[in-house]
Amino acid sequence: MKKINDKIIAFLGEIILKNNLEKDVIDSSFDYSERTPILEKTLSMIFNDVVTQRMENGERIAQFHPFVKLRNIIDRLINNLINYEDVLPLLKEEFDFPKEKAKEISLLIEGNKEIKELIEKEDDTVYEKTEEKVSPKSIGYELLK
Amino acid sequence: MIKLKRILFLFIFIAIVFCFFFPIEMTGAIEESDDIMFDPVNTIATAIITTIVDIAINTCSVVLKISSQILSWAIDGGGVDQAGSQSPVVTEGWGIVRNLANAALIIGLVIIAINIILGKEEGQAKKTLVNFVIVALLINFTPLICGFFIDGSNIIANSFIGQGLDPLMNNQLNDAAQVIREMNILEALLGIGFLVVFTIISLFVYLLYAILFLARTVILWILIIASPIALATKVFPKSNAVRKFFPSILYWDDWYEMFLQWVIIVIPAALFIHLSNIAIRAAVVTDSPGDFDNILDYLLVLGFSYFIPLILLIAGFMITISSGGSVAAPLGALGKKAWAATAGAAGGYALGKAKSGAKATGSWVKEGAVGSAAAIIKRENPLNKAARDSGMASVDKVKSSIGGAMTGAKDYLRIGESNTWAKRSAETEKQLAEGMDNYFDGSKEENVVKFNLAQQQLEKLRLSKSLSQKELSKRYENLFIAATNNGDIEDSAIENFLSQSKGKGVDVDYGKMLRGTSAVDIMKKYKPKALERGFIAEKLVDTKQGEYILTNPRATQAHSKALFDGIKNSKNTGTQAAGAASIGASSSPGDATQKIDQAEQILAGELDSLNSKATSSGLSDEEEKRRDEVSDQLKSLKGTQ
Repeated sequence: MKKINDKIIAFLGEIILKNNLEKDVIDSSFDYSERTPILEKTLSMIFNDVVTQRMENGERIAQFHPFVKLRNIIDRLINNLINYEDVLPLLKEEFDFPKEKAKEISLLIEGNKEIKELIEKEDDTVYEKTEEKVSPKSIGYELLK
Repeated sequence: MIKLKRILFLFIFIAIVFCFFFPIEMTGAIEESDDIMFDPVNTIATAIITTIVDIAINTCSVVLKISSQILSWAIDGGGVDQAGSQSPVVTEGWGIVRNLANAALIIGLVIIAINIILGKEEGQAKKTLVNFVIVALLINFTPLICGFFIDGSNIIANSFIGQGLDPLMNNQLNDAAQVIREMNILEALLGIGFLVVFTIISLFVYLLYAILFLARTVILWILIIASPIALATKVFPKSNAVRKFFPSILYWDDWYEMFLQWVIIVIPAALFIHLSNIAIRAAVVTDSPGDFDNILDYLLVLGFSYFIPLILLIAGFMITISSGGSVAAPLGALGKKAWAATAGAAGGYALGKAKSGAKATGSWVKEGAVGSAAAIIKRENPLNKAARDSGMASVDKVKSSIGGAMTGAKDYLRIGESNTWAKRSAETEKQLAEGMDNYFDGSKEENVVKFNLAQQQLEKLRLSKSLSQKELSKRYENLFIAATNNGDIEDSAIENFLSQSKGKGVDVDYGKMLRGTSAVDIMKKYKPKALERGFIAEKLVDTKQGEYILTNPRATQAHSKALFDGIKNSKNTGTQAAGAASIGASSSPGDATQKIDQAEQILAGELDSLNSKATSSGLSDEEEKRRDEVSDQLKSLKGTQ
């Protein structure tokens, strides 16, 4: 399964910040300053105490975190499970966006070069396999064979 | 017993009365039989005391002579020189054991051959084959090799104690006895007391040395006899199974340690006997009491002169026993018991009596003072006994609460007989080998101490080389897992442990460990606390196992959240970015495998709820049936994957 890269993470973070979707997943210490790279901002809106607390309360991150909701859509897109046309209704469904807003974001996604490249790219994910016990063939074995 | 004490007390009382009222000189009075006519009381008393002194002195002299001769015999005849391999017992025994060892080597050869044929640890087997040839040759020369070491240490020991124990000790004791005979009664009694204590201590010190030398001889015989088998075990791989098959001195490592210790044990012993001999020759106790201002001065000089050689012997024995390590420990224990049963007990009894008398007086004074002070604090009359008792009761109450707190603290710190270092060390070693699931079961401070103790234990094991690299690594891994699972052990302490281990050649590659373990097993082995650690999360985040724990609903919520926290705690952008790409991933429609996953999740959820209902309130027949169906469906779904 293909996965998003740092640039797409930052891109999604940008969408979230532009649309003020982060409000429910950050606290007052969130660093909005322009000097902070967008990737760091995005990561800090995921890995923070507010999110931890909500997870502790039994909420599933996929159901409340804007980044995870967006990423799940992108994941399906880059893995060719959906097309660009499917993005708009999914955005509307997940975020209750008005049609214009959903369209604007879907166009942004469509215009992203990184996502496009990933869609076209072959899935070459290789997971390291659980070590298997290997029985080397011995001289004795070879001689007896 | 009480009767005996009374008689003894009466006797001492009469003796003291005699000393006060009849300050006579003992000049062999009975010889001057005329005196009995003129001064009968004085003469009879003198005769009685002279007889007692003579009996005591002669007994001491005989005991000392016998004990020193036993030691001299142990040094000359029975001990040091007989320790070699010439004994017929050794020759016969060694021949039998060598044949057994040859048989064991043949079994070893077969094992090596099987390993080479099957390719199991073939490299190791080939190395073992080289050892096998060397060992098979050396087995026939073990008495010669052992004899070389034994003779070497004997030569050094004989250069110290070639002439045995110096007989001057007895001669000087006889001189001292002569001096005691010429003292007055009080002085004679003190002198005899000193002589008796000295004799008892000497007896046991000499006997302990004699036992040590004799034990060395016999034990070295046994070790020479066992040497072929011990050497043969060098061929076998280091493992617990082999150790169980060849216990104690039949295993090379134990044999080697024991042999070296028993070989060299004679050297410090001989050195101190030699020093003691020098001290005996240097001791000058020929001055008569008349040359001293009082008897105490004389006894001090006498004691000093006599006890120096003894102290040297005692110190030498202690050093010898400690240099002998665990093998000489039983003799050390015997020494302690002997001391407790004889001289220690005698001295202790005298001291104890004096101490208890002083303590009783002290207690009376102390209680009076404390009670009065407490009564004043309580604004009561300190001259009134009831007020003092009441004050004392208050103090006792405070003392008991402080005592209780102290006991608690002691338990907390685990100080006491049942928590000796050796005992805890053995427990740690056992848990390191068998898994450390319940190792960290104390308070934070205790667990930190236990972590350090376990590390020391590992270091000991590493240095002893008693384990194969694989077994040693396994123990390091066990400790690593246990430490990561325990919240009391800081990340920095674990990371420090890892880096130190790496420096010592034991690399706990936990990344590899995690990658080589399935997600389900990770959740079994590692508690959520472990996954909360940044360094663990870093290794898991971009793996199949990490993804399973983060995203699969079958992963426990606690582990899933812990890994999320771990990613957060790693404070590493790369780790967090990798985590951000995985967390909360949902199943995608259209993907057959994921649909199976979804179905499996739904069924697993239903099965879980049915199982929990079964344990809480029980299931109806229909529900039971459904549970069986769900279970079967789950099994068949797993079969499709």
